[in-house]
Amino acid sequence: MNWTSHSHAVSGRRFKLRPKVREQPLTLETPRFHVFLIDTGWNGPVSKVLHKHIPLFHHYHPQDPVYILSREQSIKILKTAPEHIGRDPMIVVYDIYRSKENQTKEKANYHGFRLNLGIIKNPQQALRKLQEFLKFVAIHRMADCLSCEVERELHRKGLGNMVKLLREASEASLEIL
Amino acid sequence: MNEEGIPIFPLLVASLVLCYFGLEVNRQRNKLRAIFNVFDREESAIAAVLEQWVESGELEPLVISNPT
Repeated sequence: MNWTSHSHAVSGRRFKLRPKVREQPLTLETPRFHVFLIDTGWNGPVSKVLHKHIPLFHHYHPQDPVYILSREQSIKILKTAPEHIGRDPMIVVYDIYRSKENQTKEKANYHGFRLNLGIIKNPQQALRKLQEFLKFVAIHRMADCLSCEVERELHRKGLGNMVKLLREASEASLEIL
Repeated sequence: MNEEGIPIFPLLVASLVLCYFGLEVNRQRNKLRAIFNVFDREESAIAAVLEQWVESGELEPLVISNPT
């Protein structure tokens, strides 16, 4: 497999990450996201897993460009947003689609979503999160309100964790008895 | 009033278990949100830098081509 890259600069188009209202309906092939991988390299094992598997994102969604920032670029970016230091490697996904329907202020402010893998120390756990992330994008890429889908996903996972906790608690109490 | 009828110890244990459960659920929810979340226009500073890099060609999209 040969990795190459082509320049956006030569096309002469203005590159904007701001969402805009689209007249055409969304299809599975509609370009919708711009994906950026920010990694300063402090979390070695998780970085290794992420860099190995990020081309999969391109294979599943070739219509959405994937940009991999160098270590120096990642440091420059995190200098402008120091609150994210320690959360990288992170995948930042800008959503350039905006629904035509009237939205609340909070939803109208939505610009995209991100996965902060630097918080996870275990590479296997990071890989699982990456798989879930890829699946989430594949399933919901035609959703009109993606921020609603993120909320739903978090709620669903939260319920799953509650069930898991209850099960563990009941197992522990059985062991005590 | 029958004071012996109030099971204080089991109630205390049950309250502690409930508190622990609530705190643990809250902790896990915060962790989930720290890993996966949405962002808004507050991050336009990052977007402006990224736009500039892509426009100038300093940052280019990954293209994977199979060898012929």
